[in-house]
Amino acid sequence: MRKRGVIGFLVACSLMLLAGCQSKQNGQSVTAVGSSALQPLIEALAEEYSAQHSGQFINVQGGGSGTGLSQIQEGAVQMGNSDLFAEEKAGIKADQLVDHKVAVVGITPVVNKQLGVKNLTLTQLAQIFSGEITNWKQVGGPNQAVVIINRAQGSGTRTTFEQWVMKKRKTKPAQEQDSTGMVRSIVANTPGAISYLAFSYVDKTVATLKLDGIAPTDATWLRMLGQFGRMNMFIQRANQLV
Amino acid sequence: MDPIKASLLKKSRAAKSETRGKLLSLFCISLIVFIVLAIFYFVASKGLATFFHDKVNLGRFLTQSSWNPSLKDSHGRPEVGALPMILGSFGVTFLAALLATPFAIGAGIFMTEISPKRGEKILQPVMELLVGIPSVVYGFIGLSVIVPAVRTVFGGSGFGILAGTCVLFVMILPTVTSMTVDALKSVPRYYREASLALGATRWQTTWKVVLRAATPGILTGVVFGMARAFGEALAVQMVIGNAALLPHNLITPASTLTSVLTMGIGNTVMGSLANNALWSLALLLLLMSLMFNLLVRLIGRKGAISR
Amino acid sequence: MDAKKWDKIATGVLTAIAGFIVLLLASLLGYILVRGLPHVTWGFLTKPSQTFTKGGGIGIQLFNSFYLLLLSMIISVPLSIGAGIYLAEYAPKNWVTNVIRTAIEVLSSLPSVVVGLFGFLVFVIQFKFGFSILAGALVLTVFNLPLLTRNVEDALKSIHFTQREAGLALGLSRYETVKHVIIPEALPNIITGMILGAGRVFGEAAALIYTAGQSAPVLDFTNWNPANISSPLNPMRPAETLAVHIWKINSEGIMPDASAVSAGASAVLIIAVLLFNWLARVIGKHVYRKMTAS
Repeated sequence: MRKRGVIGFLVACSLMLLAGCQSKQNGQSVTAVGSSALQPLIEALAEEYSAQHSGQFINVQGGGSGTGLSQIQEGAVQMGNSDLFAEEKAGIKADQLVDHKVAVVGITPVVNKQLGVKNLTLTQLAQIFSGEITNWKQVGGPNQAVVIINRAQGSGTRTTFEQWVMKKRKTKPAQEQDSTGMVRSIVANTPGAISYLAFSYVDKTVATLKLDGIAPTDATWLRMLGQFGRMNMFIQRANQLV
Repeated sequence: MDPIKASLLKKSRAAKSETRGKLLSLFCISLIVFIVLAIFYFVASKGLATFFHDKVNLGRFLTQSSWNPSLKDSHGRPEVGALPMILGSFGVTFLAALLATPFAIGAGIFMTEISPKRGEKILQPVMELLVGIPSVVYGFIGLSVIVPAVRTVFGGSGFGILAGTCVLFVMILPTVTSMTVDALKSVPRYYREASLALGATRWQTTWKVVLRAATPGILTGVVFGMARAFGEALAVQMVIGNAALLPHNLITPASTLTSVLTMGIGNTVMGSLANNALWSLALLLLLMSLMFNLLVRLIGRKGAISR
Repeated sequence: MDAKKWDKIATGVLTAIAGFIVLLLASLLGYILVRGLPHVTWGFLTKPSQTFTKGGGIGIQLFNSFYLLLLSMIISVPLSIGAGIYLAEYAPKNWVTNVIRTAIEVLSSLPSVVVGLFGFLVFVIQFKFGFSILAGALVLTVFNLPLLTRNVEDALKSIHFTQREAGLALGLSRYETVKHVIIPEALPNIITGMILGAGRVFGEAAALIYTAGQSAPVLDFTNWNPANISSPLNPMRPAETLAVHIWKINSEGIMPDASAVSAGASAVLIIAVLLFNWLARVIGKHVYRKMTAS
């Protein structure tokens, strides 16, 4: 139920954006490229939009935030999707792009279900990912080695996580996966595993953690908005002027 | 006189079609060569930018062990050490080849010496099917069967070189086997007849005569299998764990050149150091594949001389 | 007799190895089919996929896979036959030929990710094809050409040289000999190789992720005008294939029945590959019989 709520919210946000930018677009088809996390959302919108406006198509592609940002910068596509702000990505001239924030999504730490740890402080979480805590018994859990599962370097979720949780600490080199679905299934199947997921991907195969006693629910994360992740969508200025 | 001379000097229709056909086939082959050159040019121009444009030291690139292209170390140099990936790639490749070779030779002997009929009827199609199974599917079988199995037997998370080796073993087995079969089949019949006539058993003949004669061909097959293992991406990426750490043992997460390449390429911006560093990995892959091919040539030449 | 005992033992071990490999394949196939077949229904094979709700199918992906395969075969078959003829019939024995052969070998052992990225840079960005079937087909061609060329060359070389001499003795030119004598004789092998190549291409994912794209827009199957963007025949539309779809569902899928869809799609993919192998055998045999009987 919670999942559906979040998705509904995201859809509503983006719908407004699309409605806004589409009125300026004369072409028959528009291509949006980038963040695979944003892809299903835009895809659903595109389908709806095409159903209402016959002869107009929106092609939605994944490929990652980096692809989205560099393609929009080169003007190869009309929309670039990214779950990072353009300023945060090296090699991107943010002032040449128009930023539209279309959706916000929370990130929550998740652990393997059998672990039984329910609560961590933000410091403990950072210590786990920096390699200072290597066994769950150090934070009151069972005697079980910590298995860290990270997202790929440069991915939006990881950058956001490192920015807000790790602060200046250096992340310990550990297992990396480049997709959320993979991370979830590995956490679900590996004893002692810990990782972090966008809210929309959390399901009952993994257990979420309370952070400093705060549970990751829609109500709490909306209150703490800005402390967690977000998704952006870029439209190149040049393209918008046309 | 003149029209006859003219008709004699004129190219015949057959000669014309011959020229046309030759040109046509020449065109096709040059197109392929052109594609290869284009790939080399593109990958090299991107991959070398790390060293010329971003001024990364080649020696450090090959020997440093921390991979964090977006960060700088204490001296302000970018952390692009590809050693963990290079070791990981070689590790899974050699282990997979080591594991696959005895099986391939065994299957090859079975198919040529013991039971050619059943070999052709059963093993041949089996090999073709194993080649046909997409690597995505291999990856998911690895993830849902091999990784948990490694975890229960050896402990740890299950991801690592061992799991990668198991998946690659199945993937390169058909390549090595089919080339082994070719090598065994090309051993002349009279070698076997001579050996059997001397009173040797079938196994003695196979072991002491046929296998010796076929060694260069079998080695070629093994190298081709290694080339395939070295370049495999999706399936390995799913089971190896992708941790840019120097591999200490076989059951802790490691990474390969291909796994880091596929993971990172979408998350980096074209033209940035992080992206160029990934292209350098691609260049490394390309050079390795060239190396493997030269190795095959070398083996072929050595084999030809000794025969 | 020691040697005889060893012979028996060795035979036993080798038979066991062969049996193990067969068992390996059987368990692989069994695992995929048992997990996936229960989800495969007619609706699953024809319906478009769903992003958020369950009950999605793989209809468009299936069509895309076949269309992409067809396009890439149209490009690569003539090219590989031409190249194969050159290598088998015309190529002089010198260092240039050696370089050409090495180039083809390198191309065939190139990691498919690298080929895909090359396609992304050249076809998608440089040529401005965008994520499209055309870009995907060209990349598959690059991926497939070396293997097909080798197969054609091998098929042509396996024809006995007396056939060539006979053709030339009848006054045919070298090209005519190839066209009328050698190719018909080698056809069964060439066709078998092509179909097996098609099966390999059908399952390729890594090279297509960045070229044919990862989205499958809804198609209008009543519109067969290739210039229209909603037509299934339009080569400039993005097209997610079955293998890419499996990869995507497993990595980012958020539909509630993701695992079922992926299991079902894997089973369909495997069945398609099995079908290609079977076809290769049947057609090869049929052509062979026809050619030798006439």
